[in-house]
Amino acid sequence: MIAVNHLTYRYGTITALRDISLQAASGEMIGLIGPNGSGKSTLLACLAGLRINFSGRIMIGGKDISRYNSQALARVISVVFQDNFFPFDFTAYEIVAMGRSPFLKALQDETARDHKIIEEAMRQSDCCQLKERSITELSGGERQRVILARSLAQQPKVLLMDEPTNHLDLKHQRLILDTARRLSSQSGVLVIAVLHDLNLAASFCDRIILLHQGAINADSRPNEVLKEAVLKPVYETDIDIVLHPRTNRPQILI
Amino acid sequence: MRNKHLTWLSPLILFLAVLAGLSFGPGGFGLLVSPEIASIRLPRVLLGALVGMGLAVSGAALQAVLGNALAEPYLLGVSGGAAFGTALALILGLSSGLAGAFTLQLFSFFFGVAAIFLVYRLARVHGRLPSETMILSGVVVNAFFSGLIMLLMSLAGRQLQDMIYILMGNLGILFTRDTVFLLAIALILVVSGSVYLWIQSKNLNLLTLGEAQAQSMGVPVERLKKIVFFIMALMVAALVSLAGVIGFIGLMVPHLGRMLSGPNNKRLLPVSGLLGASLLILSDTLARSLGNFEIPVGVITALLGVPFFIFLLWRKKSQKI
Repeated sequence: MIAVNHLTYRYGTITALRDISLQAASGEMIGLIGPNGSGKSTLLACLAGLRINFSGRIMIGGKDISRYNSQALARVISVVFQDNFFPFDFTAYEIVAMGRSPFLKALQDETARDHKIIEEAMRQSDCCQLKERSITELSGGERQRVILARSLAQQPKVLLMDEPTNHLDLKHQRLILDTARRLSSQSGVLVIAVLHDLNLAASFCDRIILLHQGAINADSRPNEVLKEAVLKPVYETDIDIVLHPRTNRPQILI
Repeated sequence: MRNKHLTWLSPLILFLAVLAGLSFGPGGFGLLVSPEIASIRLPRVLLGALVGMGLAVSGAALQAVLGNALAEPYLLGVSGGAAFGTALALILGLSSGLAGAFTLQLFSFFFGVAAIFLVYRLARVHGRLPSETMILSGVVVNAFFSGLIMLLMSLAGRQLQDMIYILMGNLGILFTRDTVFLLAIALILVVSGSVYLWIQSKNLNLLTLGEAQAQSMGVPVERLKKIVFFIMALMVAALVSLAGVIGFIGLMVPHLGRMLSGPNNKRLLPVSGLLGASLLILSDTLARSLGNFEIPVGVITALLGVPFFIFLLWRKKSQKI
């Protein structure tokens, strides 16, 4: 679904990404980890078509990303951003409905089919009951569910998420990542999530890409990447690793 | 909770405002006092409708593009820039006839557009315009153009009267051959600009969520932003060279519009247009009827607008805590 070849991205004198190459297939759930400033968010922005002056090549669905216009790209890729602001009090339903706009013409109202897709997206991320509420009065967790539903309403083939569980309580962390996981395993969506919490990455992803100073340091299954010998030089701190008693996935203790 | 079903109120409000505008003023109360008085009041009401509509739609579009409910052509220096351009064309003696009308528009537009791009560059932080930097940039750009206008005023001879007129905001324009050209240009720009912005209403809704967010949902953000800035500056420039600087309509009206029909620009832009026309007609009616002499309508809108702005700031502050 996505093929990246020798991607390098510079701004000013800083090289944010250096010589990144990777392949990602439909149905995968990939965790993107790395220390602060390692280039995770920049890589995600490049894949989302939000940065264009990079060198190298990004192919989406077999077509070069530069050959998509913004509307065509939005029909394939949707993004859950880290920071979201809502200066005006749209209802939750109106926000989710905005996810249908890449499929609509100017001034065209949503069709019955669009409304069905919107309802289904809200059901998937468990926010149907918030429909008529104003987005400005929702709690952080409720808001994130609405934002995820908006991304799902785009019916993406690729879902990119930038720290989607930031500032959320345990229940909502699980809810957001469970929804993403279900989407990848059941609907064949390629999910790539930047995750700061390594334990969440270990628990929910089948493949983990570790970035360090803008380059890929490791790219494998959680048990291969989340090892002391790999993480310690990258994060520059002492850690211990245990296995989750139920899932047998690695968990990091500091 | 808001009530979307109040959209229908806006044409009713405009109708009442037009009635009030035709009934009040020096010369007595009543719709048909005399044909002479009606022929004075009617053009003012129509001019007020055009200017009010243009300013309100500009304000609503600007608030969406900048994702900030405090944005407005006057506060961000667009009106000030346009006023300077107009004053410059006046002092250079380039303002008579059809060619003069176009020159006036061109000068006014050039400095109006310069103002909005300057504010945008100064205030943008990570693809957003936080209120603090936006208002600060607006103040600075306004101060700059005020300084330039004062310079022109100190150099002006017989054009001083015209300049004061431009600065104060006034619908008491005399219909001469020159001003009819200006009026025609303004009418064309405001109507076609408003229609274009309305066609873009879905994209404007997405832009309120932020530039990256809008881009990821298929909005060609960079291009759309520039087009909206240009159209807004064209409309404001045309209105400033016609009726002078009238502030706060673009700030107050979109808020009132959201109370009636919610933040969706597909409804908000037309509702703002109607309410903007109503508010300016009513303000001008007040300006004409309050005393024995006429108060510039810009004074009335400022007296209404400043408390409104303070209320918005206060509400924003209390939401943050």
